[in-house]
Amino acid sequence: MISFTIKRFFGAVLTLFIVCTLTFFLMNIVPGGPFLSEKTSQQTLDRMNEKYGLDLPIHEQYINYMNRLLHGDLGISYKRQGFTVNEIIAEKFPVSAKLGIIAVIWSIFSGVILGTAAAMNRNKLLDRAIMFISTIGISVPGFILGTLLIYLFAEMLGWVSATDALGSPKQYILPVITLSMQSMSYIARLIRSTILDVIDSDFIKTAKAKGVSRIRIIYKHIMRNALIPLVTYVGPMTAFIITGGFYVERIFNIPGLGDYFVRSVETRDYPLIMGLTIFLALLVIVVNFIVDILYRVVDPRIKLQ
Amino acid sequence: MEKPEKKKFMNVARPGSLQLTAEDVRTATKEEKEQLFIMRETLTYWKDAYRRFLKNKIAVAALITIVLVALFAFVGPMLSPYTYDQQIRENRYSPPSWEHPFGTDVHGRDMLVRCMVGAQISLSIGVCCAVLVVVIGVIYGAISGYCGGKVDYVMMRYLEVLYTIPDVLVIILLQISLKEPLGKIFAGTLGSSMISIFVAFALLYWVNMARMVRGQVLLVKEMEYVSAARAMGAKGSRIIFRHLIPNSIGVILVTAMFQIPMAIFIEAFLSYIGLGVSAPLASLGSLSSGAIGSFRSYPHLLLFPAMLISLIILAFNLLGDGLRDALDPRLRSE
Amino acid sequence: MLSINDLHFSFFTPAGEVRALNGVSLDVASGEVVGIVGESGSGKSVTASVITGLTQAPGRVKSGEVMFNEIDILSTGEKAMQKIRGGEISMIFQDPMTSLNPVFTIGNQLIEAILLHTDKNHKEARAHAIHMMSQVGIPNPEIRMKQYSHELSGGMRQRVMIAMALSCEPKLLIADEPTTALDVTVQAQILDLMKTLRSETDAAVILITHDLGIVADICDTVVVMYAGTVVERGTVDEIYDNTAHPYTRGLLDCLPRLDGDTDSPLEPIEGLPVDLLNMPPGCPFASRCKHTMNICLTTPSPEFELSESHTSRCWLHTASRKAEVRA
Repeated sequence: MISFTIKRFFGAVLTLFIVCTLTFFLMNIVPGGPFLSEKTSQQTLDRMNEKYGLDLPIHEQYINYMNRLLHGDLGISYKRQGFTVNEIIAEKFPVSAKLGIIAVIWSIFSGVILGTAAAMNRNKLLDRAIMFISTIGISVPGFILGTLLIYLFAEMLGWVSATDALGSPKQYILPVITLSMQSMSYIARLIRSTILDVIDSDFIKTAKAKGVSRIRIIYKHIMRNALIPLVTYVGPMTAFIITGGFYVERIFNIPGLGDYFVRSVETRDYPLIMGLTIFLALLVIVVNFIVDILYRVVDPRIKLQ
Repeated sequence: MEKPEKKKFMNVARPGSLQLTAEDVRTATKEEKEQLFIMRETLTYWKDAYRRFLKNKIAVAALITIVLVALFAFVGPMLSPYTYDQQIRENRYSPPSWEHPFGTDVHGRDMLVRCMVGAQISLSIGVCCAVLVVVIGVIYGAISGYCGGKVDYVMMRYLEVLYTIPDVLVIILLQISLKEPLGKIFAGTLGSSMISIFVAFALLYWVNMARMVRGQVLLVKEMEYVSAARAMGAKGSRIIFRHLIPNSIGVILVTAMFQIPMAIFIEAFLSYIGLGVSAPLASLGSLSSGAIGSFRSYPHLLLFPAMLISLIILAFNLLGDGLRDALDPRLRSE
Repeated sequence: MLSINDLHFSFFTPAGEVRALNGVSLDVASGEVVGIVGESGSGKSVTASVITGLTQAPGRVKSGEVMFNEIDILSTGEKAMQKIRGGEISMIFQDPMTSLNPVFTIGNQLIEAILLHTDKNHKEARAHAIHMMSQVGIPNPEIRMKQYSHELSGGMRQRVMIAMALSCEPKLLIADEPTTALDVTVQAQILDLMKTLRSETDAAVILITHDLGIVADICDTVVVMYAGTVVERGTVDEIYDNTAHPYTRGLLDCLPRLDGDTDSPLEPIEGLPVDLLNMPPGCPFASRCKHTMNICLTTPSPEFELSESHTSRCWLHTASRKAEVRA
């Protein structure tokens, strides 16, 4: 277990290293380098040249950059002058994180319930309906879904306000639905298929032969087995929710990190893009690392191997 | 032990109690016995899969939808009196009419033909990405599985690292940085966004494909030992054609099928954050994201491309599901 | 104690009606060990699942009656069946590798069974579980309790399954091929265990198997099934020494014999089992039988009573050619 954890830890560090390196060199492909390509005031340019040593050869720049990253310095924004990337994250991330966590919880909660309901009614109307909805859920791009939801519920029906982002708990409903639609649909399909795998297994036959009630078989014997694959999906889901934040925050006017990221892409604020990419990548990598370890814990079969 | 109480069963007869005729006790011929067997047709894997696929109405409907959309996308523009970048000044923002069934956009361009071209671009992106994934994934997986040992170990560890890289972030980075250099090279033909999606797929998305192909190769290798021992140097080509290809092609096909909607999806997402194909070219993603701002006044601009893109992704997902059900040997026992 | 009468059971699949049981009758007295023998698809396991009420769609009982101690199993509701299953009737399955839930400890699964059917509290149930484990010959039961099934060998897992099945003192134990998936040496150990337990408990046992050797070893009576019908039944002695049905004869001829004539070749039964989707009108064994007569092709044989405990379903008992079967 410990050696596995160490191995995975180094894997995670390696991934992060690759992402940082990739980020650095890709940003340097941009003609003129990351800091020079747009109209920046001479003052800023000088300061950045000084701070980042852009006159140095590229490998030295790279070493300096990695060194700064190692010390937790993600760089500065040149569109929002005087702000460091760390400051921007500190300001914007909590908003996104709150929305994201709610969306993760909702995806898992509703996905598991829908998937279980579908599996328990295999090939019946309810199953088909849930599978149809979840297929639609992974087929409609989120920004289209979000736009339609706003139009329908905010403008036509007036149930929520289209402008007052996250002002009240009610205002969370549409963004959370939009953000979690894809993960929820995926989880519902995943849970359904794993339950159907488990339900025909011999140990469920044993449980039935023991006289365990149907309800208890579902929540004890089946769910525990069916939830294990779900753990492996938490990593990809985090990535989904982060990128989902890019459009959801924009559509719903939420001043979070995702919206800021898209804005920095639009304004070609390269240092900010670099910094935010590395921060978000770190987030995904850390989640993946934790999930990997957690998976060993929840599945006793793997523990000894 | 108490003696089991044997009930008198229904229909119990005493031996010799029934009189049979001489004809009754005549020994039956072999032919007569064989007639009792109604042989069920034995099906080959592909026939079986084909039959199962045809039975799946949803999958067949999805396939028909895809064919229709492909015709719409690739044949449609030739039949249209307009071109995708032709601007009709006096006809800006016109709602759907006989003249322009999908209406016109801000520059007075016909939305029908723009949707056709957009579908063309979106489909091309999807198919090209799937092809890239198949080529790279199959080669990587085959090498890893075939070589085994240390090579396999290193190649698989590398896959694990790739797997945890946040793909969309990398695509965005690629997109931003490659936009200008590639834009110069491919000016006018392909958008740089398409190229960077391809690059990203070539870099990141073949992980699953490689894993599956490797698994199949390992399976066949096991078989190879058996037949090699039996036939002393059984022909490699026979093993490849008899076992490897038929076994893997289903898995490859299904995995590739799911790459297509994923690529279309990612392109749409990139379009939304302003990194999609550049005007006047259009993909379904860029058409719908471009229409979001004016959705309230001109809903038709969003409605048609959004419906088309959802339909395409839905159809490919359903087709993938259907193919998996039809081809997955594990489900064959039913 | 258990009485099955003219049971018909079919699976209604898209391809048609698969007639798994075609008029099965069976009696088990308390304390009796009944062996049900037959090849795969003969309806052995389906019979067991009907007795425990564990049939699954698209399978359905068409007609017949299953009485267990005055209880009509077929009309008993699911709630009441849960009380009976694992309590009065318990089961052991074929593959111990997959019959235990991989994500719960052995102890957890044993205790669950005990808590369901006794009014013991958790502590007492635990103690009882440990007691049961040592009774089925599991060393260090306290440690085993905390382990998961993948940490145990196949033989140990089957012992756990037996401990679980016996933990609530069942009146009827159904063992569905309990040794098939095990190594030969482990098989012998499990059979020895079952024989010991047989003398210690007064539970009736239905032993489902395709292995006539095992049947001869521990059963009192034998029921031979073919294509969803009972073709022959009798005491172990009657079946082995007085074989009446050509199918039973065929099964016995497949067995290697260590005593006597070792030179005679083993005789496999020719042909394939009958297709349950397209049942022939006559005797289901007609296509593979050496003695097939005209009437066998058209009319199924009634059950002939050869002695008080011995019956056989074969037209030969009426015909004068009966002697041939013994040859």
